Amino acid sequence: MILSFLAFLVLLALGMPVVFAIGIGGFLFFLSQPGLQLTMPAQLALSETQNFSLLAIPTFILASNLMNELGVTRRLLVFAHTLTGFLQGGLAQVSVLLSLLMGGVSGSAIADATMQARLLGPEMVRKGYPPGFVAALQGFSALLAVAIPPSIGLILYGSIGQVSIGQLFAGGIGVGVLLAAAYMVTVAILARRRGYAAERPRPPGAGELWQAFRTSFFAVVFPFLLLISLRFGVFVPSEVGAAAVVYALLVGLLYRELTWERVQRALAHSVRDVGTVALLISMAAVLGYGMKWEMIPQKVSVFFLETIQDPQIGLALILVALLLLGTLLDSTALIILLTPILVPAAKALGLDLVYFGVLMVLTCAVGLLTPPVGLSMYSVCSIMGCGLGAYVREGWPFFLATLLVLFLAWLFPGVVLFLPRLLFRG
Amino acid sequence: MRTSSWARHLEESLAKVALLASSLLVFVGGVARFLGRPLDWSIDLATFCFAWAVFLGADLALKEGRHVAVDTLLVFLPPKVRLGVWFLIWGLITLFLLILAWYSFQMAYLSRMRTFQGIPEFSYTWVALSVSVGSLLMGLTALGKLWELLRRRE
Repeated sequence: MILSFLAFLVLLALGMPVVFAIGIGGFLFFLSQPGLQLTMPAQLALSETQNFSLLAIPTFILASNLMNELGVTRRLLVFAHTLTGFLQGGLAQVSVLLSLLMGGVSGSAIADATMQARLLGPEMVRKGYPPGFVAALQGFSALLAVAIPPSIGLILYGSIGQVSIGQLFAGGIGVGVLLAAAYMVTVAILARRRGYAAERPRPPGAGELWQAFRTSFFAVVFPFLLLISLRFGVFVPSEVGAAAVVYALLVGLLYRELTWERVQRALAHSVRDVGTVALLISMAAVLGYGMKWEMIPQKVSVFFLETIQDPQIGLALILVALLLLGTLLDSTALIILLTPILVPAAKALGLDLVYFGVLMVLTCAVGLLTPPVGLSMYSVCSIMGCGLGAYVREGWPFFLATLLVLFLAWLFPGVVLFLPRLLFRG
Repeated sequence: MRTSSWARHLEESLAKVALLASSLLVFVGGVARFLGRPLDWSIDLATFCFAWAVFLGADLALKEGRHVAVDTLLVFLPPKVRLGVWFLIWGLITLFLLILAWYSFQMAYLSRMRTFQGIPEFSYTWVALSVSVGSLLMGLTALGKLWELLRRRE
């Protein structure tokens, strides 16, 4: 197993795609154990795709790509613009609110950051916002997609770690709203200091608000529908994801934006997303077999139980480690690889698995935005045409705001747990 | 050239159909169960489609370089060494994928008598082949990247 880990790390450092470094590392374990058949890695890779609860991943990915193509984004932008356009730093505030709303139909921070930077970036630069600021703003506020349901990160954690996805979704909302508030305050302070202008002369009237709400109604209520359908437990998460696909198609039909070409485009994006995420899961299963064989999850649990003992300190250690790992490793890969190891440890420490999951997934996602390696960061910087230096100079207030929210959520588990308790544990 | 673009189009279409079918099957299965008439084949057929969507989609992603890598260290290497490292990396990936394809074809063959879940007359081989075909396609894609690297050196 040490050989496997070494191979994994060396191949990773040499620039091999993470998924193959995992696969080859896992395969080496089977080579080093003469008693094991070499058809087993293939069997393990296949068996992951035959797990019904994992079907939540492709269905939600397809649903959010469909929503994106079928005119939901533009309507949410109008809504966000009406609601926050009058504030100082109008377009920046609109961006944060749009991220919050988009978080409710989309599950991927990278996709949201990319989409919003493309959608709002050019206009913001024209109005005098520095490109580095726009890149950092869009990148960080897209983290809301990870917190607000549906979230692919939470689905991965929930289906791999066998934790209730409904409760995880509910748990994400509290942190998501807090994050959005923190970003809005950050923007407000910066906008005042730098004199960023408002977009609209005055706050919206009731009529305007109602009009904007009505046009984007089906998108705004979507996360609530999700929670309700998961709450009543009639449908399992995979079925809710599939229903979301049908819902997205119906919304597209209703908005008269449903065309064959757009559905094709959403499908094309989705098969690629599903191909990368699910292949990671399959390859991680090959490596995971070796880890289970060597009882690594148990050893990690014992370490936490005997050496650390205190659950809050254990959690803080895990989160700091994830933050550091996240600067280098892809957040999806981190979640897939570490959930099977960390969930037993969290359980042994007596931590609530919903609370732990929301914090773990969000902390991993911060790695999308921290140099040297961060996929959201690369994406927004290349769209805005700014260097990493400018991004870091403009991004640190948002980074601090994110850390502050994570710290608060760590300190007060109620931030995460009040909604799951209210909705699911009453 | 014409056959390869045709094959790619087929691969793309199959992956899309499999993904859409898998989602719709889950939906139909859920509705049927809700109405008190569970369909025992819907879930199995959905995971069957999912497997094919995954392994074909993984190859489509590989063709476009969408599998994430950490390439920050590589930037510091001199161009010649970097090319050598790329060569090594893609050589290993090709080898790994072809070995995986080999053993998964074996698995597919060995499981030919086993029926898939509850569906009579439907051999497990058809599901197992998704891994074989997927890793073979990815192996060929990786071989193509090796070929490109070789040509670039000249």
